Amino acid sequence: MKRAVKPSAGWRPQYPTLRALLLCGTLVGNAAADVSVPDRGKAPPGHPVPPATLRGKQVAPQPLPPGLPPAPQPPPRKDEK
Amino acid sequence: MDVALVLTHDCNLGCSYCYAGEKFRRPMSREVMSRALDLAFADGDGRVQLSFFGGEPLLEWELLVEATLAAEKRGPVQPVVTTNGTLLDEEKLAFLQAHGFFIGLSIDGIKEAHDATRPTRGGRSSFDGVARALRLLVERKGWFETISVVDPKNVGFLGETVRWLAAEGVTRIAFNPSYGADWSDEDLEAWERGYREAAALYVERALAGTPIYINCVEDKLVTRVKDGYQPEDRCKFGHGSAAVSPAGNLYPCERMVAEDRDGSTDIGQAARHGLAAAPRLAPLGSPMRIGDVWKGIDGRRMLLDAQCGPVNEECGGCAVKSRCASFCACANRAETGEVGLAGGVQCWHEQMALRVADEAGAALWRARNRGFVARVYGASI
Repeated sequence: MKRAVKPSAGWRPQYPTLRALLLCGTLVGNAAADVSVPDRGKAPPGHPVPPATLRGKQVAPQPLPPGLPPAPQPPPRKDEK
Repeated sequence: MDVALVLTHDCNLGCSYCYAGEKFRRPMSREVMSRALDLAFADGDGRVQLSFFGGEPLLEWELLVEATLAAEKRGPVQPVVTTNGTLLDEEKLAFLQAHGFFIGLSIDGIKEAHDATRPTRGGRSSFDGVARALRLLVERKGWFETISVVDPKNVGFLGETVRWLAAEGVTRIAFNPSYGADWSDEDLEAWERGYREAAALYVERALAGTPIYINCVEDKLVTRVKDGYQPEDRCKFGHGSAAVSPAGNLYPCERMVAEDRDGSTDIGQAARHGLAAAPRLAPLGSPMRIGDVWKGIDGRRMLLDAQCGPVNEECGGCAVKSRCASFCACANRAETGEVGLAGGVQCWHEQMALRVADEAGAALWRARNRGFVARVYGASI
């Protein structure tokens, strides 16, 4: 039976995005300074791709929405002083 | 460039949903293999993913070994093989492990599910053979994932399948929807029940500290975490990757290779190989062919680029478009016949999978499950 494409009105997932976590400073340790999203989700099903723990990619810095405090900055590294 | 070598069109199974076309023995020649590796390493750009596909690639084991060793001499390589497992033995696995292979084992689930869709070409059960391969991979700690095609013939066993695979010791489970099949409303209900069981297992294992990867859950969680699929997540489809047919023709994806022989033939290849070879060469008119290993990728890739999408007008107003995998050209083509046109089954599937995954994500976030955060966010809290 042929089925039609039906756009979704959406819903609100009850867990945060990485960007939201960065903005509220929830991430600790080195995570906020050096966070990368695992490369999972990359391959459509049926195309095996090795788990990409070594292929994580940096999250590009995003401009903060107006009115929100800046995301916490990591302490400077020793070699940057 | 990443390349997938289709070592042969031949296969010892006769899967009901197979998109590879007629099975016939035509192994890749050494010349094609060598040219394909030339192409793979031409740009000298980091590690090359070298995938082996078919037909059943282990039918051409010697060729697989030769290609692997030859590739390693040329540069850093990440080898991958997709196999039905029936020919896998200890010796072959030892080679694959020694050379760092990631293995995709095609198994459609418990015996009833597997036998419904993946019989031998003679119509007999192939389950015992693949189950033996599965046990071997688990016992020898192979680096692998299972790939189970979800089809109306086996969808009723989905929940049992995911629990059985996990109980067998599999830690990476991938489901591969057969979008082109004829899906009834009852089938779709069974599909959602199966995914809910998979999600329940995903949550259960995460909370127990023994996490398991299930693609229909975790891949969708990641799309939430990183604000949708990013441009680099889309399949390369001939940009930085190509599939090589046994005859040496290039396709944007291994799923597009099919039989690689009908229609008119490429005059250029016939001239190089002699007219006697012409009938086994790919058609110029094949809409998915984008070149060959002698000349490289040609302008036909650009024609395909222009067709990729999704181009559906309906998708413009969809709130979850950024998390939808309808960019997958081969999935679109399987359902609608067009690489850029998403179909209704895929649309339904993507929305269903996202909802189910989001419920799992919410449960794990409420529990502030550290393993979940580490796996999906790549961070700690």
